[in-house]
Amino acid sequence: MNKYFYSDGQQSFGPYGLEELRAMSVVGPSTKVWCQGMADWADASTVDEMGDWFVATPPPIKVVIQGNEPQTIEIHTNQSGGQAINEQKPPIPFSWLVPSIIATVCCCVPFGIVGIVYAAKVDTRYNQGDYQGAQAAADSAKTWFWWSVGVAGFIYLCWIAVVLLGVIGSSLHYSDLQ
Amino acid sequence: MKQRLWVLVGVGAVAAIAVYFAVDPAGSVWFPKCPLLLATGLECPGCGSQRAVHALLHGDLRGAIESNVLFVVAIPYLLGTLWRPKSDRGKRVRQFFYGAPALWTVLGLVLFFFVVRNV
Repeated sequence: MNKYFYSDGQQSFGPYGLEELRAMSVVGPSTKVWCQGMADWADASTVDEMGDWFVATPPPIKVVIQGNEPQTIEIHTNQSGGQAINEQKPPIPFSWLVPSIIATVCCCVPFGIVGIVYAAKVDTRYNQGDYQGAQAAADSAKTWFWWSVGVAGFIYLCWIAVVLLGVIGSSLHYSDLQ
Repeated sequence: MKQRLWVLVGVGAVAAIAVYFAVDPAGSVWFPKCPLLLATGLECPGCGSQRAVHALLHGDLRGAIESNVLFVVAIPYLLGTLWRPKSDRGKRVRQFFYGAPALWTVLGLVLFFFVVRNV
């Protein structure tokens, strides 16, 4: 029987017999392993003798415990050799929905509408597991919101300028008459 | 830094509320006017929001709705985003109101309102 080395990415350990290695529970599907006769390190899941270690690993079970607050506990099956892969789910990014709607109903309809579209994209992408895409959409929504604030401020300043010119103009007009 | 920003926002909001309570924006030249309305005579979905604020601050719900119903409806909808449910059921309810399909509906309502108020 082949004796295998495994590596944690920095150091290699071994050699161990196949059953010995399996019992140690250190090798996951993507752990690099090597034995004599192999050209290079390979993922454990691609090695014929280990391939069936991982196929038989069932998906995680969700157990809901009823208490004051429902709580979800995830149990990852940790078969001998199978590694529990605990993927971190980042929190959903702030979608700028509220500022976008405020912009829509208060000043800047076109900008606000684009913001709402991006807020919808944040939700869609996040639920598809595309966390980077969700963050990108959130960033776009943010940009559009601040543009709307800038444009609204600029238009308001122009308006005030027009009003002031009108006030000055009309006062000149009336004083000319006097 | 963030705290100072919130203080600034709070002070600004109180000042704005005081101004919109005291002055009727419909009768004053100093309030911003909608460029689209000035240029084309079309009312955008945001037109009337200032008058709606003034009416709401004086307890005139009917006047606010007549000025801009979208603005009046948006207030409780926006306040609803503050709700952060912990239960699965609550999360489903939140997703129903603020998930992507709901937001596309909001978008549709805004555009629908834009058309209807100008017909």
